[in-house]
Amino acid sequence: MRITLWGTRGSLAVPEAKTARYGGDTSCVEVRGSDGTVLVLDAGTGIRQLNASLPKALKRIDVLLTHLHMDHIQGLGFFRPLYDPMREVHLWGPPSLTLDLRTRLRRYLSPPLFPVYLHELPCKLQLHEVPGADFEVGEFHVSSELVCHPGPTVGFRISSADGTLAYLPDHEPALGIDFPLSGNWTSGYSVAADVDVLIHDAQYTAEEYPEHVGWGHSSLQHALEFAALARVKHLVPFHHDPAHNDEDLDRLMAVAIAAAKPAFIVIPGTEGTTFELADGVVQVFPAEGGKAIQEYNNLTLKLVVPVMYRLNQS
Amino acid sequence: VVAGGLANAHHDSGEVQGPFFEGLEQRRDSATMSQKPIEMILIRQLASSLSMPMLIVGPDGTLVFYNEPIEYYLGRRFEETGELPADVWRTIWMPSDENGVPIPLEEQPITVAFRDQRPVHRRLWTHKLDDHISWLAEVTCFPLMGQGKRHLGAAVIAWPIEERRG
Repeated sequence: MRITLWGTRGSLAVPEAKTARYGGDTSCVEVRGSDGTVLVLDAGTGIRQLNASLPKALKRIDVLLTHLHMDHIQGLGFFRPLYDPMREVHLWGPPSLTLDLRTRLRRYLSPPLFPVYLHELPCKLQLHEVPGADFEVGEFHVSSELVCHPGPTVGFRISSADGTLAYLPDHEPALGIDFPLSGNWTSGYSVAADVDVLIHDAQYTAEEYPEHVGWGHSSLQHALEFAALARVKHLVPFHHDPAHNDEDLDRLMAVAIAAAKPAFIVIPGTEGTTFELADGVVQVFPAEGGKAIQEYNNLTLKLVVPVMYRLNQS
Repeated sequence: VVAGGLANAHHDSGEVQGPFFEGLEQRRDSATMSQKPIEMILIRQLASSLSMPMLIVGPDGTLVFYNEPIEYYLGRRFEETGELPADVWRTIWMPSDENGVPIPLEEQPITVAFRDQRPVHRRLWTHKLDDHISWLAEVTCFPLMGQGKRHLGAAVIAWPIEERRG
């Protein structure tokens, strides 16, 4: 299972020099199987970069939308496979209590917000609503669960013979409680429990969170606590606040990790980073210019799994 | 598990191949982890924040949560008891109408809300059997219907009016 972070920013794209390393594009993650299956997690502006990496021979692509906030669907209209009549594109996402997924997506994929209507897309398009029964795409087994975030929002749990990934980019499990409670009373727990890699919302600092309670996001500290509760092996803090630049995020990560002393590896979510997950072991290939994972985790001296690290030369 | 990912599929023609949430219960039952449905988690969060006495009953009648304001009336603390089975928590009180006539189990507001899946509001006395304290209260019970019209249980909110001892 090869996981690539194409967009890591939350709320709003911030294409600035000061955010270049963590990334300015909004949520988009590619998950590629050893059999060539491609899952795309969310369709934020990061999906534009994904376009170039897709194999031309790929006939089927599945896009899994956690929810329909703009930072998670803005790139959809720019996803090239949607304009290829030879491609089969499956869009998975939540309906609301009164509107089906198609109707909700039409709100964006229609004028005046976008010049192309959903029904005009030439690809072989199929829509699927989640949460529902677990499903399989190629080598991947996918489950989804509603999670705590304004509006219908799901988290995805993706498993293959290589390992398990949980994706909870927008998630506020600490809302209104003395966090953390036990796992069975914690939003997202069944999605994340015991996974090899958890990609999780870490939008705010602990100081910022009280001003944003109910907005549907976590502090970095909450992400660390949630990951500990779920016994994950690797945490990827994600959905960075647009107000936090690279320097801020380096500092915030270092301080939070030093304070939490997690018994798992924290891999700050930086745009372009790729993970290779095989047999439960994760190799990390940071984007060029990325910081070594050890630089963060040596603070805690709690590396429980050897991380094989090298710069991605490709 | 639905092979090929065709569960709940819509074709672009608008045809619906499967209902929303089809298989949800099967998926929950087969899950190895017993996380509560998100709707239950959210209502517990709400109850934890309210100053009104409130309790939440799960789909099997278990008292899955009660908030701090109702702990006084139960004489128990949730942190100490955790969840309480129906045959335990329903014997803490004996409800009666405003005239002191006991209300049969099948007519009690929580039973009606649970069984008929409709809200019930009633003024009643609750007699706490272990220390003989009684409260007159307005009680509202309502069913908890989750997404996909799943019956998740019921919630009770009480507005105490008067307390009597002995």
